[in-house]
Amino acid sequence: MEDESLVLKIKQGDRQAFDEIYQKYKRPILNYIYRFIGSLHSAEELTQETFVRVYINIHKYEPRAKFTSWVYRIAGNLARNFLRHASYDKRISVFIKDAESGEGRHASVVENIADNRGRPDRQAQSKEEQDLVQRAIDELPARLKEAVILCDIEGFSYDEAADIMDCRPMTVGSRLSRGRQRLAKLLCYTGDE
Amino acid sequence: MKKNKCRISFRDISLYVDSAHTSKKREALKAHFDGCPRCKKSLEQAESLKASLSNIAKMQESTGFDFEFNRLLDERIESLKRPSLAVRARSKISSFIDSLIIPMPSVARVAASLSMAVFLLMGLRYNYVKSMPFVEFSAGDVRIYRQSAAAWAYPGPNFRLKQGDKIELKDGAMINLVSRGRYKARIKDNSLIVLSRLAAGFGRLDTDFSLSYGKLLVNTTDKFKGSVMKVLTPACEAEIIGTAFMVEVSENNTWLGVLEGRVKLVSRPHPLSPESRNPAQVYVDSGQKVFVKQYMPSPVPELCSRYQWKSMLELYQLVEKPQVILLIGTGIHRVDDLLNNHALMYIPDAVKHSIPEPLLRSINAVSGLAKCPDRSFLADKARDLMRELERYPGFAYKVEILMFIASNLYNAGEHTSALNVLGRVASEYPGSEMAGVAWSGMASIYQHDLNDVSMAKKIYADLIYSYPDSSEAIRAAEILSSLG
Repeated sequence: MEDESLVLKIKQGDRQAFDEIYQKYKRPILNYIYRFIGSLHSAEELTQETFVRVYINIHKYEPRAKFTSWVYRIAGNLARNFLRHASYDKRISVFIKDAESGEGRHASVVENIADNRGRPDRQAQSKEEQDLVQRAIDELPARLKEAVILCDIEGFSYDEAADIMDCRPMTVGSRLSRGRQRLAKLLCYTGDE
Repeated sequence: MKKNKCRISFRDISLYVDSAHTSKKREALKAHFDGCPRCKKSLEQAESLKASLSNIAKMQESTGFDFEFNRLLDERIESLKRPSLAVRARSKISSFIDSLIIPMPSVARVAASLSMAVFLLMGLRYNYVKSMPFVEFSAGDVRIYRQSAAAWAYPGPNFRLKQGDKIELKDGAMINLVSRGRYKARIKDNSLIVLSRLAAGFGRLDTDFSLSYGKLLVNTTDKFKGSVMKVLTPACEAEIIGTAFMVEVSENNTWLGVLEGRVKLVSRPHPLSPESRNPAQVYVDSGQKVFVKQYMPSPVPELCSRYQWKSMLELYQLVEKPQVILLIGTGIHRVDDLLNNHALMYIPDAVKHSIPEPLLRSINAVSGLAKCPDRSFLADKARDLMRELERYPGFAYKVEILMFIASNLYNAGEHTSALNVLGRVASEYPGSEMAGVAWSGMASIYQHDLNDVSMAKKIYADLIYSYPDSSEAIRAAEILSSLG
């Protein structure tokens, strides 16, 4: 069933319709929040809070905007607030290692992840490297991080991401390119300084 | 990833990867990539990064996630059905008022509630404004960027600071910030600092300074207790537990020295290194320093050199009530400073008017002879100062000046005279914080200059007995064990 018709039913108090929506979006939202804040436990709590807010505020939703964008926007706001209140100050800039010495590592991390699809023998290594990528994502400023997660991880188009981020599609493109550039530099780190 | 020398930016490459260019531009870029190995490599890396991100593992919820969610949702729906706290409080208050023998007219009730609310808000506002730091004075090229106004300001005295203010100083500039009754901070020379957090509560003010580069000196007061202050630098995070300290940041490395009190220092490892989740921390105590390199763990604090210690003495200019201070080091080695170096007096301008003119002249005369080769001349001037001091029996800084005289007499070779002056401090001012130093100085003179080791041992033993918690007692115990 289409989201919009499910929403109509939820507005009339149909809890089963809400369950359908919940089952459909819980994992993408959990994944989105986890990539945003980097902690699975907190991501689960924020995901639950997202759906509680969806249910309670469903009467405020107007079908002018896409339902997916509305849910992601609620989740994004919660994740941003969470990061704002986290004690660690992220404003300290990250040391970017000289690309000359880091290119090899970058290539290996990035390419290994890309190559590990469906290879159980390399899962352990893959997990370690994915953890490294997540920690690099953690270092991005919220706006760049949001663009990278939505477009590169969640697979949204520029238009869809722009709808969620409440900006123009080309702004998404700019943020995405800056995010990718920083990620590439961060992943150049060799770790043996 | 290297910067492109050609005109293709990374943004172009990123948009190309997402096929977000017009077909004309895309064709032009494709042709360029074929002829430019550097851009081709960047393109391959961008494509590889995109592929790796899209392939990153999707997270799964833990067991019981759905159950917990349904419980939370039911709970929230239930709480929405209950009247809110404000509604319940209002009903309690109105039932109380209704129970009064002479019920208040509703206009009076509203007026009373409004006045109380206004009064409370004014109190909160006053408390907040009063505790916010302000500029005491600034000199040289100092400017402040206010985020809310998105404009630079040139601060004068009483300029109130807000969270997010960025303070920039050029060479030779200086600015003093004061939070009334809590701390004074000085930023100087080429510095860039952001007031990244300012949170006032009743009786407390939490302040975070983000120091990108430059020099910051902070001296807190007794009322600071309960407040939190952190200095965040590219290499570490310093949380203030004590009173007076200095931080200097250059090329992302941090030097921190503590004059009084204690500072907790947490280094910042590289965000991708394994230590980043559990960074190392050390405590830097009074008289110690530490130099933290960016992304390296904090080394063990060491004692400040005399030169470093002297550079921190500027902190004494930041105390609430300026006072005369005898400039000798802190910790167990301060007696060595007293005897082996000419002790100096720090007399702030604000105090000078309270010191009798002849006495001040006499102090300056002795201070000016620190490098004079004529030792007897120095001894004469020190005795002149002693005579001058005797004319003012109730003088507030007598102990400090006596110690100053003892140091100069000793350095002039008048060991016995120095011994007598120290003995006077020890006997006449046993409650002074200089008493332990005086005892230790006496013992040292007996041991090294008068070759009377048994007398030295007796004085060290008395010192340990009388001032067991002093730093001199630690030194005395070490010497006694070495003397056997």
